[in-house]
Amino acid sequence: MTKHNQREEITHRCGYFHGCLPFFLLPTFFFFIIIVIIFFFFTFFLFIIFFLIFCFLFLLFDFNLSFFFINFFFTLLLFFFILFFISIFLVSFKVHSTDFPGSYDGYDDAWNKEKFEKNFRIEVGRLAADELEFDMIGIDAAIANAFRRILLSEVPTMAIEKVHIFNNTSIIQDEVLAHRLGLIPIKADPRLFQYKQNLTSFLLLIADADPTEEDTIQFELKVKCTRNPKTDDPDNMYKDHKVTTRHLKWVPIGNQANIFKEGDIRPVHVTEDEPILIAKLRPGQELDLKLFCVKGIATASYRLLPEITLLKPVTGELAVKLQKCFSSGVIEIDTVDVNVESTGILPPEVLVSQAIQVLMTKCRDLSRELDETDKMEMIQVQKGTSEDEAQSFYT
Amino acid sequence: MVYMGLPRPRITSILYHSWRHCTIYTHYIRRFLQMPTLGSEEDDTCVTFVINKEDHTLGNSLRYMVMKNPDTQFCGYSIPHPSEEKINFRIQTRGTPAKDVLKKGMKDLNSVCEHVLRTFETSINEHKRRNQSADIEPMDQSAG
Repeated sequence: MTKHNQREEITHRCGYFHGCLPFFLLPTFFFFIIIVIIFFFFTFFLFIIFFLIFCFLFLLFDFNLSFFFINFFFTLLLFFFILFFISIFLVSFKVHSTDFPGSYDGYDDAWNKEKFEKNFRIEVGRLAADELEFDMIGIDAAIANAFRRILLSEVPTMAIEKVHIFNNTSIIQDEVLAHRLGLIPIKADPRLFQYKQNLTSFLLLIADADPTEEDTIQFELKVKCTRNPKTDDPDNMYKDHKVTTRHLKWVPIGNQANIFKEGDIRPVHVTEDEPILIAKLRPGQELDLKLFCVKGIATASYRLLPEITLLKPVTGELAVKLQKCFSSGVIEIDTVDVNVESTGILPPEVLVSQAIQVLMTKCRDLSRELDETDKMEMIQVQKGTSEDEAQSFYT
Repeated sequence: MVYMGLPRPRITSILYHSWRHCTIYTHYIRRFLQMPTLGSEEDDTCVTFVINKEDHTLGNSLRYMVMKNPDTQFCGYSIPHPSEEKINFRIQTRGTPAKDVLKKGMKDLNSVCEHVLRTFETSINEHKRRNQSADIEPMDQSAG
């Protein structure tokens, strides 16, 4: 890989967003769109003029002269459409922030902590038990998007991961039942639990660590469906034919019974009118399962996901008006409008705090790894050994 | 603060050193690998970092912070294949070593997060206080 030329510096400095179309960045190239729109109307205007001239000539004179102007008419029509499609392409795909050092001559856009702290503020719109809406003003979309991504998939929660099936005579297959159970939100504060430690030995290949009170919650699901002989009413013919989250019973491990009261650890949707339906049974069918919840994040599956819906950040007309007051490029307004809806495990404001802390931890871990890589390279240079041996020296 | 990362250490390889016994090495999964430019190991201003177990979440935000550094000449990241969880993070600088630029970027991102967290908690507590809900207590982040 060679170094990029100096003269290509400015064009290469702009970082491009990967993937989605961030329409909230519209104000940042507002001046660009104005030029496109002016071009638009200019060609459209000319197009109208030539059309009128053509009609005028056609009415007053014979065909010959009017055909001369038809040429211009269609050329402009073609130009009009080409410009239209090109501008759509440019608007949709080429999106980049321009607040980097070097984008504007003489304007210092380097990272200034004091300036950021002075301009940044958060305005809370609505705060309920399971819903939160707030605005972040003065932060760039890249960082706000990182928070959004972490909120959706990397905030740790407790969820059922292992299901021991002792008896399942329902028509729901074992794996389908286990999958459904894994999606149920469990009301347990994940900050009070630790990650499950894997066995650090050869035994990992054949067994799993025993569940301890610090990292596992155990539930029991024992339901047997029977016929109700008392009534003829078809609605009440069966007893326990709907297996819901109300049938999940918490089994305390170790001294969890001392720490948590009865009713602290339960599925989230139990006390309302509509608990989550797990399976349906008929007389003679039964379920006998043991469920183990652990702490984790949604790495491979979405089952550990707190349910959050976020509105895309919207910059209102106010932001654009303010930008017009100054010369182009002086004001970069980035407002992010965030709406967080939680499943009920944790209140939404706690979820956002956790998300921010997750990003901080990522940075710190990466910094530490970078320092460790430095040390390992130094060992490598001194000892003159291969990479694997250098690692074993280090540990 | 409860430790947020995945549990470590984990087994990553089992090496057989002799006929009689096998030695098991337990160490951190190598998250971080550095690829210097081919042919010029002394030039540390152009470096591609291959970071495992990361995606757009850290990549884009870190790229933004590194770009804010006036020393950076070029900064970009890419995901070689979406099925593999790693990113190639490239930094080209105007003289300072790329590692230092990366460290500064991470430090700046850390400080941004801290400030956002402080501001957020203050705003939430203020909002609760303003609505005078007697049941809701001020948020306590050090639970457990």
